[in-house]
Amino acid sequence: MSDVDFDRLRDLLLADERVKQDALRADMRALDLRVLELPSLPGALEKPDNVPRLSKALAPPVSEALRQIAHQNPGFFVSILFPIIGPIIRRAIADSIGALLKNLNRTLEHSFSWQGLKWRIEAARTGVSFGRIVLKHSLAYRIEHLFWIESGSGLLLAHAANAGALQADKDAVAGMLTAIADFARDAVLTQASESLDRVELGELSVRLLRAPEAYLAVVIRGEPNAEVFAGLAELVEALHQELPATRRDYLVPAEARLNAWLEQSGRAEALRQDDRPPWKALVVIAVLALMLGSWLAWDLWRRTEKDAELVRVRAVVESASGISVSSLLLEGNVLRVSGRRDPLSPSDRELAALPALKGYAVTGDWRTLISWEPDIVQARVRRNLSLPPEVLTEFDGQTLRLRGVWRAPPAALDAQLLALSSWLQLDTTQLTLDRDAEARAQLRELSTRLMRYALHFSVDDQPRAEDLAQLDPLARDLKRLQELVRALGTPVKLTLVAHADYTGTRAINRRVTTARADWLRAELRQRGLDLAQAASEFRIDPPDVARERARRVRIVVAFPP
Amino acid sequence: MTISARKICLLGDFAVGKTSLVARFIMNVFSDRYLTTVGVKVDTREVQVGTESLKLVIWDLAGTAQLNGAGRAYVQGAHGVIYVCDLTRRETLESVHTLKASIDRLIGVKPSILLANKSDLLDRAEIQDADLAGFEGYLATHRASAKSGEQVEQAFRALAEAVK
Repeated sequence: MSDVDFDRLRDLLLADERVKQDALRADMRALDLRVLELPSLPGALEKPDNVPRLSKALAPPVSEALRQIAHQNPGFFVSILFPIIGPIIRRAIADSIGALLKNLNRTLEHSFSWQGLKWRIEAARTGVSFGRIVLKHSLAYRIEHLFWIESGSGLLLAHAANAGALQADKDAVAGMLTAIADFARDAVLTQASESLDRVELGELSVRLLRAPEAYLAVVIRGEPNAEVFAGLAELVEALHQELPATRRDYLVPAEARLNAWLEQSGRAEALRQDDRPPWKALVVIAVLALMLGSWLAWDLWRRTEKDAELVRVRAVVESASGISVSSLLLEGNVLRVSGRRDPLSPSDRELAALPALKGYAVTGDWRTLISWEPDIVQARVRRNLSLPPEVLTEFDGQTLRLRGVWRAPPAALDAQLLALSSWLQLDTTQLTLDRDAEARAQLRELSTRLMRYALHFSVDDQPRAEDLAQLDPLARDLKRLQELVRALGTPVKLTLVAHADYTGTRAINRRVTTARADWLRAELRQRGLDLAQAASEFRIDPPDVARERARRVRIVVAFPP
Repeated sequence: MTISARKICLLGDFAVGKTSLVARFIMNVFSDRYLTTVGVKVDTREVQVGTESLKLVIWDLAGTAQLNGAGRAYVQGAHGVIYVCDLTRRETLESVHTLKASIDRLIGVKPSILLANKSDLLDRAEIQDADLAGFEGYLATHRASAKSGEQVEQAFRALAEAVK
């Protein structure tokens, strides 16, 4: 068989296999080419044109892979994110604290107390904000222990303690702390992600600050501020970053870091137990105490003086009749009095006018009182009866005596006295009531007036026209005189006295004066008066009396004994 | 000087004498009340292993035949385990077997020692040497007595050697 035949036979028998073999060779060549291209893959990935396509292609599997890792091993992400999240949280806390301080400042600026004043002085002296000073004093604390503990085993990785802190088996403490935290999580907490982060033990508290593989247990006496916790959080991050894969010989560097932190931060912010005398504070306190003492002494003296003045002023006010004081206040120069007061007692203005109350304005809040003090009772009776000054009063607490002569008392006096005697015992045995006194006084006045009338004549019995106007009032007065005389029963003698001048003979003057008296008698008769019983006299005036003044007639009133 | 610490867990059924064994080995720090409240009590003892000092942090877990939730947390990170049974109660040996299987699954196989306590009560023993020899996976098996102190120190030291 030739080679050609042999090839033909081979084609007939293996045609399909040869086709498949060629296809496989082509695929292998393509694969070889791709393998050869792999070294250039990073370059291809870096090409900007390929990034969107690659991102789109890789997003689904990468997202799914991350989701599964997060679900199955969350600690993986915690380990990665812990150094990043810590500072972010701290910054957020610092911002919050800053805002808190501002609010605190605003709030406390309005408060004023001795403590607040002391803190303000400290803030001014140190240049620290008032809010920080308040926080510093309000949140005193001391860190007793720092335990850096491996989370799973509870084995102690490092420990530091403050001088004077109670010493205990720190490994056993670390173990028990871990056990208790595990127990709490298993017994109380519902989610695996939750953990015990604080234990209170009287004035001590244990704070557990966790990192993924270890936690820091901080035993604190008192209440530290947020800055301390921020510092502790940084410490935890640093410790965690330094956590070696194998824990052997790790104790020394970690403990050095813990001790350094206690030295730098803990001691600086610890409770103020410095034995040195705080002389600056003492001086300030001494000065303030001196000022306070002086102020207290001055205030005490002022209060004593004021109390004494109050006693004096009260005595003055209460010495006024009919006043009962219940309270008395001195506000500057204003005297505020409250109590009871009789309407007849001195008014506020009258009280202020008293020499002993000079300089004070008196403001009274009075309720009415009916006083039985002698002055007030006598004043009340005197006002009610309108007693004249010549009637004197005496009151011995039971009986009011009226004494003296009461000229022309009112007609209703008897009724008034009767009304008065219903509430007051009266003694009027020494009181004389002169009821005619007024009539007598009128009689005297009337007689005086009557004797002032003078009717002049021009010649003989011709009266001067201007004097005729006296006739009517003269007649009225004479009628009133007659009424009074009749009422009093007093005898009276009326005389018509007619005057002539010195010229002429006696007979002529006699005739003229008679005519003048008759004229007047006739005129008065015309006005209803009968003076027939009245005597007549004539007189000749001396030459020094002017003739026109001498020619007249007048009436003389006399009361014979 | 740096002293390494190792966590040793003590497990066994109730009333097998774990706490008494620990008391023989260490000076108690915490009250035994923790066993009934928290379910564990931690004590320490420093031992000399060759030229090195080693601190054994001993977690004495409350007696149980099976681990509960807190118990599973307590054994985390253990470097070694001491299982304790009561020679006078055969069922406690079965509990040890169950506990060891659980622990091995939970934290991996750790150096372990089996202590058969109450060797002072041999006349009442329900567990014989042949029964103890039937168990595998322990570094050693000791008949011990918390009452007399027999083999207690040796057992802890043997485990210390293994976990150092």
